[in-house]
Amino acid sequence: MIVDIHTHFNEPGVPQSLGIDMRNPKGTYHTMPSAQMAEFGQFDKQIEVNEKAGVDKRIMSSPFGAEMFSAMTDRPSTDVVKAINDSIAKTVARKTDRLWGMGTANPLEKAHIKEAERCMGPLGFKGLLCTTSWHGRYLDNEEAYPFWEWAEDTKTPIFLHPVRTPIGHNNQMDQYKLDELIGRPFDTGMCLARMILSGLFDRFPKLQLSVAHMGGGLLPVMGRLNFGWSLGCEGMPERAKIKCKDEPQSYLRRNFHVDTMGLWAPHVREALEVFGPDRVMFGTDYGPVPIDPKEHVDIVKTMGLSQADEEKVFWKNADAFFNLGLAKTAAKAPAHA
Amino acid sequence: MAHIIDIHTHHAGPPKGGDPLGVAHAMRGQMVGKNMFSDFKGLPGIAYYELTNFQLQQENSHKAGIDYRLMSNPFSAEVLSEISKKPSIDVCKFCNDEIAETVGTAPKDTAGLGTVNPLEKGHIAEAERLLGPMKFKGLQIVTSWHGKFLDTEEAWPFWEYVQDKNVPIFLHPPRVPIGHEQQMDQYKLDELVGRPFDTAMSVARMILSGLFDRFPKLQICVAHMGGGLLPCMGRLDFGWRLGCEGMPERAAIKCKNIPSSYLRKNLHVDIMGVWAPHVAEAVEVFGPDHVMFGTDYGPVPVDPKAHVDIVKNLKISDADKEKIFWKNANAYFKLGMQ
Repeated sequence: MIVDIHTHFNEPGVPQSLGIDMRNPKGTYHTMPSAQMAEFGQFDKQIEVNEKAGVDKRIMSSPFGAEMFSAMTDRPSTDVVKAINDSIAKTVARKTDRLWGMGTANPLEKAHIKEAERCMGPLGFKGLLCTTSWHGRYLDNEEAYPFWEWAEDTKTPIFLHPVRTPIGHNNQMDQYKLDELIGRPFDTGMCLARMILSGLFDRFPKLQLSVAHMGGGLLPVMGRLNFGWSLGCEGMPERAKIKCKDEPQSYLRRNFHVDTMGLWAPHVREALEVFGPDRVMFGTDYGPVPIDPKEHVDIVKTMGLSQADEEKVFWKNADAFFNLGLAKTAAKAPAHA
Repeated sequence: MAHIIDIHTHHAGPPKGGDPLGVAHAMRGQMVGKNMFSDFKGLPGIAYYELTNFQLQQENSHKAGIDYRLMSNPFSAEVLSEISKKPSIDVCKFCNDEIAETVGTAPKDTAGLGTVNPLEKGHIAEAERLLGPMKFKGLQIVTSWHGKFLDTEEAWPFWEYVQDKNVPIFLHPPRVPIGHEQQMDQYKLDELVGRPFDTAMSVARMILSGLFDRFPKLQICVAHMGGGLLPCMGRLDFGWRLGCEGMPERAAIKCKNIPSSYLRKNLHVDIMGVWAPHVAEAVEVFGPDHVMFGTDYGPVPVDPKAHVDIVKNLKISDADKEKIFWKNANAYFKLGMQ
């Protein structure tokens, strides 16, 4: 069994329903050149390619449509997330035996909690994708506390994913796809570092977050967060001080999970070492990143994991984290003679 | 004989001899205990007293088994040249002379790395002074200079010079990194996250722009295990593989070969990061011939022994550990140690 927790499909018609003209977009998006790959919008091909690669089931989400469209329309952001979530429901309904939905909401707006409840209730979604920043603002901010309190109380599975226009985008990231290739993991690294250092996990200790792209750029800076904390902040202004109670790395196996997306075996290996095999889940970014999912499968298979750990990465961790009910179904199924 | 060479260590003396660059007012910090607090461009930072105490540095390094250090100034030239009305070449000279003075007090177990700005052609003369009469062992270059990266055409004469003369280069991030205006004034994020990403951006740009196709023999050693590069490396590869059809010319990826193929051809890294799992990844990716011991000691006053232990505990052969501890640095910086 293989479950892909990180896969996207572009259901047509969403921007139009919000009055957005994608040929003449507003904001910074038109200064960041990008090629939207055909597979992002080819539903049948996605199904076929995944079947061939041995990926049995997928959790579908919109990578950053809500964050991007809400900067391009005058409609309230609650309308934007609703439109995105309805589109995901529509996508999933096309192939219910293979797909689950993941909704989206902006943690910085309290009004989005209601929409998050619709996602997890009537829409039957398995979790929520939140972008690592929203119009340049990060998720450790006080405005996000009601959302995190809600997520902690309701044990809602959260999947953090970077934004279209990441931190630093105005510094020549319009070249060489740098916004996508470097900027986005950097936005993720910044988001996680802020959550840890601000003490968010001391306030909401049971929060469980899964993070795209092996944690983005977090791991190479993890030792830096540790020494920044241990050297202390004496004499720094209050806003600049590191606030978390424990050493930053101690939060990794308490509050985080990551996916394997990155197409870079050495860093998947590091993620397994750091987070442990109970906290790594299979994910591919298939759709906008139209690399054969089989390449991602093969990376996991070369990790030298025990069969039990490999099964955790391929589906059992996702089953537990997103409450997919796969183990239960398997237990109920009649044993083969 | 076994050695430990620390290629990444910094010292900056307390201000003296007046204020030739006219920067004292802008750079004035506040003493907090033994350390100095400063707020450059709205980014609060602490300069630990270990940065200015050379004798203490020597003692702690020796205690940790480090018998040779390459000393550099992390990013003063880049910072001061933004404030000073003097030409940037004068600022570099000032910083380089200071390093020369420091290593001059311990010539047996320290040597200098000088600094210049690759984006200014006039700086090649200073580079020649450093590597000639000043007997420096290489050049420390910041990954961006006032927000401009090093793959631009203005830097080509410098890279040509470096390639021709086989100059050892050590890339190090600047004080104020990319993205700094986006709330990096909190939680030391400029230092902890921003700087490694300035490095990643700089190296990614070098690779993707085709700089290493133009200067294929260029050899560059990068601080902090390559900064934030490695988790993005597979992304550079798929960005290249998927192509840039239809993108404007400035946006298209230019390198001829798959990005990861340049890692072992043109790049070396140090182990500084105080994070064993990523040192292990760096050794896997770059190979044990391209990894060198470095600590950032001075501004980062973590006991150098912590870095030594990380290398000692790597699951590699003793011969490979010796390469990392000193043999690679000895060859790369041409130190002539036996």
